[in-house]
Amino acid sequence: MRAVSRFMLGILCPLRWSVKFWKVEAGHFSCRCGGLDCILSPMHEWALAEAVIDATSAALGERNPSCLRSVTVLIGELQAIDREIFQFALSTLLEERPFRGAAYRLETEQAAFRCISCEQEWSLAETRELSSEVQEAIHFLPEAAHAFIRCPMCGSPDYRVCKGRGVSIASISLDQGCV
Amino acid sequence: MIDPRGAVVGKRFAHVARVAGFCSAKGGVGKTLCTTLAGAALARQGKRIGILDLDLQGASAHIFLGVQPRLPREYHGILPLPVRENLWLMGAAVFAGNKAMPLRGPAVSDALLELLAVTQWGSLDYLLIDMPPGIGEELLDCARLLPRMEALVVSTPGAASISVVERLLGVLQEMHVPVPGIIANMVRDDAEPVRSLARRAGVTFAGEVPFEPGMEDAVGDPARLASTHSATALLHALRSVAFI
Repeated sequence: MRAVSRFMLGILCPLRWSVKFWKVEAGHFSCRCGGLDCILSPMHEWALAEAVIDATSAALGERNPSCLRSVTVLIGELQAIDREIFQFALSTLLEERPFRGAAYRLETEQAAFRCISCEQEWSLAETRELSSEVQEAIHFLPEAAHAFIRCPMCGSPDYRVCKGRGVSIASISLDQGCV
Repeated sequence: MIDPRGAVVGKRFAHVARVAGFCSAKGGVGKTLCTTLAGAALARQGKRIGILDLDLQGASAHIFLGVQPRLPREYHGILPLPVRENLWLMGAAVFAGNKAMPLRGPAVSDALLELLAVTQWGSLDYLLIDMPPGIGEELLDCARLLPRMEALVVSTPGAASISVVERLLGVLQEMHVPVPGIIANMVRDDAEPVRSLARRAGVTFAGEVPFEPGMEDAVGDPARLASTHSATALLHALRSVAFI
């Protein structure tokens, strides 16, 4: 959905030697990989990746961190976070954690809407095309959808995002024998 | 299913010295005015101030501060919009612009939690929250997610406001939200009804902010807001309860 809202530059990132992590936005250059402050600014996805890592840590509680085998993370289609950046942020943040060996699996959850007024259900693909700026607004705050998306049947702004809103943890698996 | 966002809210406020919501269950008593007056005046004194507009369905702090809504910059999250030196703003208008954003309860909580989890405030002396009217999700979620939040309660001397605010004070007490003081706002003659409410509720009366006829002319200009008699009176009230 958030396909062409940013222009990518093929410049080598001095930190990660990657050519695909750069964007330019209103004269502001930033690197998608993160790490160096000032010139290179890690993106919004990092805050959500940090939340996933911290929530995993909280869920583990007093258990041995090495018990953690895998975490399944649902990525809501509506928020349209960049999977590549998100995965990269997760991997980088994990390096500092005692459960660094755990696998984080990302699964996309399709967005579904239900109109409170006429009970119509619809998907994001059935929503009228949104401008890149609106997509970016929804990316930052999925509830901004309520300012721009209307029920395709009756035009009502009164609807519910039933699923596929944002980032959530679907499951955490521990090694057998760990309680 | 685990919602991970709550896990990082504390981190986002780690370098904020004091968090306070301007609250009043009654609408139209001047919460946004008080929030933006205090923000503009304190920023002018060199304090680093963040304003979080949590009136998601009726955001107007950006209008008081003269900020044109635009998408935020990113840095390990999103950055509040700079208003002027030492003053930053975040709220729903940043994303929805001046379009209406009709939300039901669970969506309000989701939006609020998202803003708390992804906004990087950095180092602030005060984060001032412009609360919506009512005793709903915004207040209840903030009380739950921001254990350091204090409530600066605003009331006009009118009977309707006094009655509704008295109920709010009861809820704040039940939720153990500290109330540094109650501010009588838009006072034309006598603030005694608000003083009397403060006595009944066992809350400190902070002071009164007079009704200022020319205030509308200052709306949209933080420098003028900071220079109003109301701003001076409000800072005096906040000082009297040792909030600043």
